[in-house]
Order: sequence, then C-alpha cells, then structure tokens
Amino acid sequence: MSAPFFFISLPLLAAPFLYVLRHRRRLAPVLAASVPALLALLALILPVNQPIGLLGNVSISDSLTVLGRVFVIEPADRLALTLLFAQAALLFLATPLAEPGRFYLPAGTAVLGLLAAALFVRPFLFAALFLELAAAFVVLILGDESRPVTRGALRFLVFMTLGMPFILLTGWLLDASAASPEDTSFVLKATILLGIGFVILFAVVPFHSWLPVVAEHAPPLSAAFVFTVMHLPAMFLLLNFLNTYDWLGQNPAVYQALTLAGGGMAFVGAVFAFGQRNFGRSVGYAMMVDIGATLLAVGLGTPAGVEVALVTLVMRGLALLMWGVGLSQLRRAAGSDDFDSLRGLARRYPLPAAAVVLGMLSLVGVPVTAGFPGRWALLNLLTHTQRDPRAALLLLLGMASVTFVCVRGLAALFTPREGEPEPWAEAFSAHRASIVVYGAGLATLLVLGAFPQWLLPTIARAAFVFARIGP
Amino acid sequence: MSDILLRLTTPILVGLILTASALVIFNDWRLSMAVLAAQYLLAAALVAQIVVVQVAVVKALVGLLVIGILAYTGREVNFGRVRGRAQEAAPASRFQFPTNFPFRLLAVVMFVVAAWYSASQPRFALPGLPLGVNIASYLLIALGLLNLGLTEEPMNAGMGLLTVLVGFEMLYAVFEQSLAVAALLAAVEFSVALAVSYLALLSYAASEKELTG
Repeated sequence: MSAPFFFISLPLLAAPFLYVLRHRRRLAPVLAASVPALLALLALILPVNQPIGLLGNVSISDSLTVLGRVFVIEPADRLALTLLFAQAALLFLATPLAEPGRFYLPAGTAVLGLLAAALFVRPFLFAALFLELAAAFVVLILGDESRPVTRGALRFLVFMTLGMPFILLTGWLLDASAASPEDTSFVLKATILLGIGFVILFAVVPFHSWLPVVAEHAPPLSAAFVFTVMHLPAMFLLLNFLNTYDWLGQNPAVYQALTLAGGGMAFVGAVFAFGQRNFGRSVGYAMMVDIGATLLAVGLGTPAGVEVALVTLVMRGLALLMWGVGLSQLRRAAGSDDFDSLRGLARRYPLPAAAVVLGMLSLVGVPVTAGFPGRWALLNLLTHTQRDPRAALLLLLGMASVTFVCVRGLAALFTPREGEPEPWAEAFSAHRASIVVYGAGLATLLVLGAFPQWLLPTIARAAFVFARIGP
Repeated sequence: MSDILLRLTTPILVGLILTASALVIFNDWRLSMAVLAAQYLLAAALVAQIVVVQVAVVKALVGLLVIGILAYTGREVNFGRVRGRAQEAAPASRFQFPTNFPFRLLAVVMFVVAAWYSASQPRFALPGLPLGVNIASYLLIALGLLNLGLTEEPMNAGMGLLTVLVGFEMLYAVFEQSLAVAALLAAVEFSVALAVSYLALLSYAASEKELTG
C-alpha cells in the first residue's frame, strides 16, 4: 500500500457516502470532518518506507505510479496536507451553523482528494490538471440553490481553466530547454508562462474579478472553503517550484515580479474595498489584500518570508471560518449582506455579528487578532529587508481600507432601524452549542492575537522544507 | 490515411472557423451544441495528422460524450427557454440572431484575422506543429475567449470554455502523448461540462423563479 493512494482515495471514496447521508444533519458533518481530521493526523505521523509494528511490520510506500505518472509524498507535502485537511475539517464541522448547501460536504471532500493528488504528482506541472478538476467540483459548492446567482462560480471556473494551459505548456518548454541548454530563451519563456499561470491561479489583478463575486453570491462557508482550501495547494505548488527549480528559484526577477503582484493586489484591494457597503463583497477585496500579503512574503525570497506566508495561510483559515459561519446566520436573518439590510442585527445576533467583523479584521491583520502577528512580521521584513517602504505602505493601505469598511459595517450592525428596536433579550436565546462554537472561535482569534508564540513557532519551523528558496 | 487527412486540412480549418464563429454569433443552445459536436469531430480529424488515429478517435468520443452531457441538461431545462417565454414564441422564431449580431460578426472577423496572422508568424507559432494545427489551435482559443468575453450565461460560456480547451488540447497533443495526461484532459472536459450543466440548471431555475414571481 502507498501513502499517496490513501490520501487521494479516502476522500474520493467518502464523497458518495456523504452525499447519501446529506439529510442526516448531525451525522454527516461529523463524518465529513472526521475524514480530513484523520488524514491531517496521518499526514503528521504516518511513517513511510519503514515497517510499522502496529500493522504487522507492513511497510507503506511513499510513492504510487498510475499510467506512468508518479505520485510521491515528501516532507513539504506533509506540511501542506496537514494544513489542508485540518482547515477542511474545521470548515466541515461548522456546517450545521451555516447550512451551505447539499453538495458542500460531498463535493468538498472529493476536492480534498484531488488537491492531495495535485500536491503529490510529479513533475509538479501536472498539478494544474488536478487543480482544474478540483475547481470543477468546487463549482457545485459555490452554486447556491436558494440564491441561484451563477456569475461567481462561472468566473471561478473560467479563470481556473485558463490558468491550467500556461502551467502545462511550461513542461514542453523545459523539455526543449533540456534538449538545447545553450538556448536560454526557452527558460525565459517557461518563466513567463509559469508566471502567467500563477497570476491567474492566485487571482492577481486583472484576474481577480471572481473573488468579490464569489464572496457576495456563494454561501459564505463555501466561499471560505474556496478562499482557504483551494488557495493552499496553489501556494505550495509555487513554493515547490521555487524550491526545486534553480532557474526559477534563483532568479531575482521572479521575486521582483512577486513583490509587484503582491503590492498591486494590496493596492487594488484597498481601493475597491473602501467604498463597499456589503460584508460579502468587502471580504472578496480583503482576500485580495491577504493574497497580496502572501505574495509579498514569498517575494522577499528569504526563509523568514516563507514562514510569514505560511503563518498567513493558517490564520486566513481561522478568520474566514468565523466570517463564513457568522455571515451565514446574518444572511439568513436579513436576506442580504448589505449593511442597510443588516442594520441593528448585532443586537439580536451579537455572536454572529462579532464573528463576521472579527473574522474580517483578522483576515487583514488588525492588532489583537490572530492575523496580526503574521502581518506585523511581514511589515517589519518589508521595511527592513527591502529598505523600500512602498510595498509595506501599500499593504498598510489595504489593511486600513478594510478596517474602515469593518467599522462602517459595525456601525450599521449596531444602528437600530427606526421604530423597530432590536431586542437584546433574544441575543443569547440561540442554541447552546452554537454559543460554544462562536465563543471558542472568537476566543481563538483573540488569544492567538495576544499569544502568537503558542502556535507560530511550530508553523515557522515547518517552513524549513523550503530552505532553498531565494535568489 | 495521413495523405487524405493532409489534403483535408484546409476544409477542416474552414469548418473549424465556421463552427467556432457560430458559437460566438448564435445563442440558441441546440444549434450551439450541434456546432460544438461538429467542432469536436473536425478537431479530432486535424489532430489525427500528428497523433495515432486511436488517440484522435478517443478525443472525438470524449467530445461527443461531453455534448451528450450538455444536451441532456439542455433537454431538462427546455434548452434554456423559460417556459412562459417559450410558449409565447412562435416556432419559426426559435433560431434568432442576437440583437448585437453585427458587433459579434465584426468581432469574429477581427479575431479570426488576428489569430490566423499570429499563428502564421514564426515568432508566435509553436515550433514542432504543422501550420494547419497551429492555426486551428490559435483560432479556437481566440474565438473561445471571445465567446467567454461576450456572455455570462453558463451554457454558452461553457461552450466557449470547451472551445478553448479543444484548441489547447490540439497543440498539447503533440508535446505530451502519455496515456495518463490524455485521460486527465478527458476528465477535465467531462468535469467542466458537468460544472457548466449544474450552473445552467441553477441559472434556468432563477429565470423561471423571476418570471413566475
């Protein structure tokens, strides 16, 4: 038996069962969450290529060959798998509070298997095919049958599909380069093609239009799933490329391009977020700022930069989980994410309102939230390492713009409608379990902001697998 | 066999231009599906020049199965015509030109010229590919992108996306001929067709809901 087979096939096999069990509102989320939780644990501890006493000295291989293509699990993949499955487990566990649609659990679980395949496949280029397959499954999650607006899901599918050919064609150029190493134009073309492919995958401007539309129209928890789980393998794919191929990872122009893309994302996110009066759309622009932050971190081309990028990815998952759960409840109550529709709802739904606002603030790294330590470290690195404050200023602008929107949203949430005072008495009449979930989530966001040393060193240490990154 | 295919290159290219253009110009799902099926067959015939015939046949079959998925969805939703509106429309007016027909036609002509010119230039043409395949893949990708830019209706946009994929597969078939990648590309086409079908169902449900209030 091979480890990649286990990580790929278990989610794919579990998906149909979860679809059958979708009406079991308590059992299905627990089962769905237990699959990625188990796989996250195995990604951490499963020994490969050595006899395991518990299994009667059976050895689990680290590779799998299918039709001539090799799937291998490496240390970097273990880190990615752990983050991927752990975040998915939390997002699945939150399903009863958010009710994101009938395909959320089965299709989401199948997506995990495909993303695991994307992480394992060698050469890395073929990961683009698995990312595309995963994107097609994600469309099932993004389509909301109660509010059937298809624009966001369609744009997401289109952009993911358009990104795939650029990455696949790189392989051909690399083969051509190997055949005639004296001709450096092939490497240049490969770098450009790969760059375009990643620009589309990361929704870098001008390919960002699906982000706010998905955030506004898809079920909030589904949007959170796409923003966290779908982005993780793409980021690890980029890190693997930089870590493996010297022609890419040691090219200073690549890091300059990443810095430019990151700064551009933060700036455009800041400009578009500023005028928003909708919690859905504004999180789409907050995501632009956050993606910009990860690109700026990788663009530093240092181990510290990679550590910050990984920390940002982890904290993004927590922030969007709370935002997704909270906004689902507010949207059900008001029928919309517009500030005007949500007026006064903080009095009736204080915990969901707090989850939405705190989730967004953590996403952009406002002080005292879980996102702050990573953002603070990045701002420090940008100002000290690059000695050019422009990127740091753009990032600060993005953070300030989204924070301003949050303050405006918070004001709307607390402003009662005329002649209709919202009853505080109903505030805590919600189900006790939901109060516990909200309480635990909000406490985690605040505690990790105050005591980042509890989690961050572990994530930062895990970044050693990308030690070769840098010009 | 390859001689015959070589001699048919020009008619196939003309056929591909006509089919890809029709997908941009017309909105009727039934016409578009028939045209897309023809496009898959023509593309497979062109690809047969550069890969073994069996692979080309498999590509044609995959295309026809994709059309099967789309057609089944189309049947479920009355081929995109909301029932209230469809009953009002006379049968003769089913195949309609879109209101922006002149614009679409002009855009198609411009894209065809630009794609043909680019594919014929040594600087832009992909080396190792016959000129006909180069031109065909450029044309399909360009017209597919144009289609994507002109519509946000899931079924028509999906057919534009599939056109782009056909164009890409045509040139990629030369560089990567492994069975695994061919199977994965086929899986990608199926999954895109399924995703588009799901979105078309949702979109249709929304239109009906809007009409019935």
